[in-house]
Amino acid sequence: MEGEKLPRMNPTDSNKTDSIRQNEYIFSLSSSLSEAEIREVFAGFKITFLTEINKSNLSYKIKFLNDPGIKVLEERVQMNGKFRYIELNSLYKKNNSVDH
Amino acid sequence: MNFMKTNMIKKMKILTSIVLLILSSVLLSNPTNRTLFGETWNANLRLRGLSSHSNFEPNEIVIKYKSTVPTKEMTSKTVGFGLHLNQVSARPHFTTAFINQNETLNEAIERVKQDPSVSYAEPKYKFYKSAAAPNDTDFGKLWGLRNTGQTIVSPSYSINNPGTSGKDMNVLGAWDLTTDCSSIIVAVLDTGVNYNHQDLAGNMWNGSGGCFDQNGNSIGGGCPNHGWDFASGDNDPKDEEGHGTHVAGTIGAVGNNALGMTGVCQSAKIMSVRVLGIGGGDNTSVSNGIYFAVRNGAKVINMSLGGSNFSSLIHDAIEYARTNDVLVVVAAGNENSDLKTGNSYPCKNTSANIVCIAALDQSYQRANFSNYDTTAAASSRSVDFGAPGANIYSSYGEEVSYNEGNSNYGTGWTTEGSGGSTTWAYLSCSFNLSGQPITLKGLSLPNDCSVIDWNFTPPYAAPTSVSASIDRRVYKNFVIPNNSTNVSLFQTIISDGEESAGSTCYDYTEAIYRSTSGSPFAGGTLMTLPDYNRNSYVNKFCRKRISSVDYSFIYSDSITLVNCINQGSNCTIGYRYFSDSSVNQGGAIIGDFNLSAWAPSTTAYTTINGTSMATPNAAGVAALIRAYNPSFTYSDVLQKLIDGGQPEASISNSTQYGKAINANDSLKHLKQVTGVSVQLQ
Repeated sequence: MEGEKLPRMNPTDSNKTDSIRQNEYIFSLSSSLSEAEIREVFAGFKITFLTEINKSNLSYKIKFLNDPGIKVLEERVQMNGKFRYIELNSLYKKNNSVDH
Repeated sequence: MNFMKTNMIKKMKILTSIVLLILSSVLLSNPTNRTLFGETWNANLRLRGLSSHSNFEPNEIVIKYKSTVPTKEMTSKTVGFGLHLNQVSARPHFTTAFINQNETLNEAIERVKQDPSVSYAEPKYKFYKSAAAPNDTDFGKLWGLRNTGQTIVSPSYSINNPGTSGKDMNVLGAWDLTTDCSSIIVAVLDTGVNYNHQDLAGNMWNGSGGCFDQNGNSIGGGCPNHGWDFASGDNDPKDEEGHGTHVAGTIGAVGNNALGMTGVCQSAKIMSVRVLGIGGGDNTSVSNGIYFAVRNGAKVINMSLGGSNFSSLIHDAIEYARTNDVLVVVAAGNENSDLKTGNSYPCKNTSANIVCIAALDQSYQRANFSNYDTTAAASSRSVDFGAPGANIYSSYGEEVSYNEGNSNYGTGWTTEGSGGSTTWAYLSCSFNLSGQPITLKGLSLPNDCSVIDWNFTPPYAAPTSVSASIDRRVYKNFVIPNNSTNVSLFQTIISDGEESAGSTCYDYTEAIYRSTSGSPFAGGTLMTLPDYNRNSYVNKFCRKRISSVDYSFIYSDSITLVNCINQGSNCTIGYRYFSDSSVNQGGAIIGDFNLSAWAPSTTAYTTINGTSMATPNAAGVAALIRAYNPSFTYSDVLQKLIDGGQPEASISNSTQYGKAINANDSLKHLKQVTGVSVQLQ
């Protein structure tokens, strides 16, 4: 079937790769919460992974099976009041050589 | 009279030597103003000369008189200041004189400058001949350290090769003062470091006596492998792809050892912090790497990496570095993007201890891949300086790369299979995408460009149908280094065929590979790739119908061929197109094929480009400055980079300071050094 096409990936463009780890987020607390309290904040999204990153800034990494997206998660943590931020787990790559 | 003056000068020199000797031991322990023999000395000013040479005479100043002052009056005026005249230079119209013991050099200068007949007064600077080039056999390839207009053989960047003599960081000049950064730990947050490389082994940080994790807890067993691996979560941050090894060499390869190259620092303490695994790192690994580096004493952190999103987690870590007086040198990125609107982090982070570096070529033009920032207010630009970043030679590993487009897929591809009248063959298709002309070279089946037009060229004419019931294969063997630790393949795959039903493809392409020679279709591994139409990872690539419109499978990216890693010298890649007996649509095209493999080596070097390569040149100079001036804060180092930077037109409107990093001028520049009020005129 033919029809109007949507914009497609440039087949010679290597910069279209993911810039985040899918379904993973980072958050930091302003004051400590128990693991049970954290899980309560994100109830309904099926946490598959929750681990502390750094004690000094109370930061954690979390992964969801049912990822609701960053906006919903930001709303959730703002309601709690003990979160400094929640953000996407972004990818970083070497600024490697470019052949010319 | 002359005898008396000479005798007095000799006495003063002897006294000065004694004072300097005593001061050397006193002032090193506490660089504050001291009183010695009833004299007040500016300790910070004195301290600067302790590392190697002194930049200026400790008790002699230069007084430049205005042209209205007759030459014959310069002597009396100088004596009238209560100074001891040493030299009169008539034509340049200045005198030099020894200061009194009851005032500091600084005080004497400030006092003399008040006289309206004086144009300026300053310390009597010393000048040395440039340090001799080290005996490293490939020193001549390091144009960023000394650019003689040399041509870089087998360049990775063809523009301005050769470049312009003198367009370099003048590292030889800086080496007049010191070549040694071993008092400063430089952390390389990267893909790891091959710490066994012949030019790095001697300059690696030794953490075997104990080290701390990102939380400050002592790590049992210490860090015997010179750092930590946050990508794999172990204590062995060895490099698996070469990038970090190259960066480390630029900062601190062992110098003057009659081997290979030298770093900007000939002696160094390189800490390997692996935060980028195969495929990259994330907020967590980068953040943890910064905390680790700071907690284990690094004073300069090199991050030749970047991402497109701001991270609060990494921001917090960089701020932690700042509060612990650590300078963080980062790459601007390689997208040729104006960061006025584009994104590259942490370059765009605004912490005071971040320095972001653009890449310059051999004529000090901005390299055509380097990001930049044309924000109107220079002080708001994220990119700070330029540094050599094209055709940079450094420690590496054994690497091969096969770009089949360069050879038009000319040799070595073997076809097999059955069905239909055609099989895979070379094809070049030119088309427009978003107004941009593109040529895709590759292997296709059937042998026309109709599957391209179907996807990208209005009115999206139906593609040529493949024959029913075909199973056509094509493959090629590639020789790679034994025990390669990274084997990756960039490829573009456009595959059509009958539309899928759920997860089932009826007509499809498969990509397969195997770590042996010969056909990979028996015993090989199917590549699993993302299908953006079906929002899932698949190993059969076919058409998908979305809202009554059909789309081909389209993929263009790199994949790591894990089953060719740590194997022998073969990696064979193959593609298969399969169609069933009914509803046959368009075929497939495979293009942009580029396979690369890397293996560690203790003796290998290479020339590559990137802001990744510019960043360690700047980090090395920062380490050199800090090693030479142990009392410096990160802020002092940054100020020296600014003051000593070489203005360059090519980056004047696209970096904050409009300057290229200059080791010589930054090390020798006195302006605005903490605690010193002496001003150059």
